[in-house]
Amino acid sequence: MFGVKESLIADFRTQQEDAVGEDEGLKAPYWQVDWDFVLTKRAEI
Amino acid sequence: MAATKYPLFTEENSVEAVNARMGGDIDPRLREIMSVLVRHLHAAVKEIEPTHEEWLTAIDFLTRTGQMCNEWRQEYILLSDVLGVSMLVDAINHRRPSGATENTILGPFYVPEAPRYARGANICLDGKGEPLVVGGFVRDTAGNPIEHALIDVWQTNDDGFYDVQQKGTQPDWNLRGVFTTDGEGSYRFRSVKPRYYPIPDDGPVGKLLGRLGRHPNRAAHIHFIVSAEGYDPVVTHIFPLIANIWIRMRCSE
Repeated sequence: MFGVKESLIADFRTQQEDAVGEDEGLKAPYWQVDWDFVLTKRAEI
Repeated sequence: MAATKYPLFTEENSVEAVNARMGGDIDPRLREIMSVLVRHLHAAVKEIEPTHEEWLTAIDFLTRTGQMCNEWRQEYILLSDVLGVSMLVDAINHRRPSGATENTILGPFYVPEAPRYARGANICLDGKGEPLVVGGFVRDTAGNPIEHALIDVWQTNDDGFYDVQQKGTQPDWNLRGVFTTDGEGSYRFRSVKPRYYPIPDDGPVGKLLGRLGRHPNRAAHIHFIVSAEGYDPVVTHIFPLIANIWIRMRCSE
């Protein structure tokens, strides 16, 4: 509990058209989330 | 009256009376910890001014919390979680520069050595739930891509259980996997939309939550451990913004 931090809330978007390109074969509807991770070098801590 | 080596106990000097009795040759960190604990515990008791019955109720609660613990159930960690102590300890021990991904607690359902998958693989092995594509980049704090970073992911299935909670019902390693970033620091995999689930609420901690008017549900989330050579690994979650009633209604869980 209490794990929810503002910076960790992600926008899960619903997709209403079949996927193309890299995700081809995935039928609509489906969800998609883009999420980047930022790591610190050990010396930065 | 004979003089004593230590202060005699009074309501006013209760902290000094207790802490002065620690030996001179003890672990200094233990001395610091116990001194602070006694000071704050006595301050709480002086503010609350509990009746004897209330004190016994507290002792009984702690007794039942201990009795609830066994090799797979740790009610004290649950108590630490619901009081916010677990997340506070995690925050203190993982202070990071602004912009770096924030740490969260590991939780009890992580299993090491999950299957390694190629980019784009689907970690949902039971076919339940709404399909989800997760993708993005792993970067350093200067924005440079990190190649060969490992993204270790795990989550519940659409029934709100981890695979290890449903041995024989869910396929082994359902909704777990490890992915590797490419030369641009990019990763991508398929899964299903996570859902909320309740913490174990059949013990004294769950009953306390009920008496406090608090629900036992954790917000829907996906767990990650992201690591790379030369970088501090981050243990974290992401939480869906949309349609997540627990985030909408009670943001703290």
